Amino acid sequence: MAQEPIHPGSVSAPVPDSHPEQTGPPDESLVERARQGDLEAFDLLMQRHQERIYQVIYHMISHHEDARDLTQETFITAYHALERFRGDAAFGTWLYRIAVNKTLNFLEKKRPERSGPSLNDLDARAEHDPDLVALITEQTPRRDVSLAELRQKLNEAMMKLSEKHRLVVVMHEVQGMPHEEIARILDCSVGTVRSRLFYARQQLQAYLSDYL
Amino acid sequence: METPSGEFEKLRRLLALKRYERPPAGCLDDMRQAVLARLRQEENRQAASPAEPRTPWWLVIREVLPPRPLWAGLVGVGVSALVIGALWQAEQLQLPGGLEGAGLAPVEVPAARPTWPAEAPPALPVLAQPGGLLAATNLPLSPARETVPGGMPGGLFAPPSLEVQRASSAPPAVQTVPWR
Repeated sequence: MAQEPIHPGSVSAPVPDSHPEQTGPPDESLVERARQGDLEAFDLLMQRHQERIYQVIYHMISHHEDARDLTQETFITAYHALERFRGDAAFGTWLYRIAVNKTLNFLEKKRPERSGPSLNDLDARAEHDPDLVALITEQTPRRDVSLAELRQKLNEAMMKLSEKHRLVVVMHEVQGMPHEEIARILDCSVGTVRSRLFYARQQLQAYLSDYL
Repeated sequence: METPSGEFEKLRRLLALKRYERPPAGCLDDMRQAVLARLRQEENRQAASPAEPRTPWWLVIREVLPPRPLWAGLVGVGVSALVIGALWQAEQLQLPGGLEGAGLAPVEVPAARPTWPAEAPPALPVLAQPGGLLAATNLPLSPARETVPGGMPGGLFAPPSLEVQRASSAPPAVQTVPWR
């Protein structure tokens, strides 16, 4: 396995922002315009949400091409269903529901085929993240574990989780969403989200005990 | 379900690693352009044939229900109740009460002539003839379907009147025939 260099003393770069600030018109007015066939408004909505939608799908299936296709399908479905969007929840929440449904359907059909992730596009700034550097240098000085190996083990452990547990881990731990928002997206109680999160962390802790 | 502070801290720091996994450069822009191109294409096609149907309802249900087990269960219960109700209604219509409700009066049909001698053995009780009971479930014959005196059917498609002995689940009276 290729060893990636770690730079423990290097200056850290900011963590990628998972909640980009919203500029321009609010989602509601863009949705209204898109309902009337304004594709430019829908393009703005896509620009605003595409990264987070892509990420949740990607972290669930660990495959870039499939994640791109599913993101595309999510936006096309959303555009066709705009008339049914009543505005009870935020547009982003509604979009997440579509993405989650599509992802779960996809995983249901493709379950036995893909067991391993194809992770090949780690942001270069990861090497400089102080938390990760500390984690690796503190915990594994003798094991000589590399970032790539750690990443692979982490993804293997993630793929061992059931889909519903992986989903809450991705949304809460990776994307930083609050429990309440996850509960709205998954249409379940906050207690269920917390329970799944707790169980998933326990499972991951067990799988990754050598690296923690 | 709260955990002690710091129990999963290292795990959470490790999971933060996944935030750095990014799509290939330009992937999302290409995806967005592909979506817009497809939507424009669909709009053009719809403009050419406006009668094209929207997303079918079963596809909408398929998209909506799987992540909501409660709703899926409710829909299942509802459909089952409808099916059971329809079956129950159909069964009710086949019962005598259902015919009365429909304004169809039962008609008396003469009981079939017994094939055994009139005198039943005195030791055995005479069972009720099932003919009367069965006749209550028969539809009344319309005048057009009655047979003409000559024995020919009254209408072109009217069934001929045949002597049919009705089946009965009641055991016939046992007759002892003296051995000759």
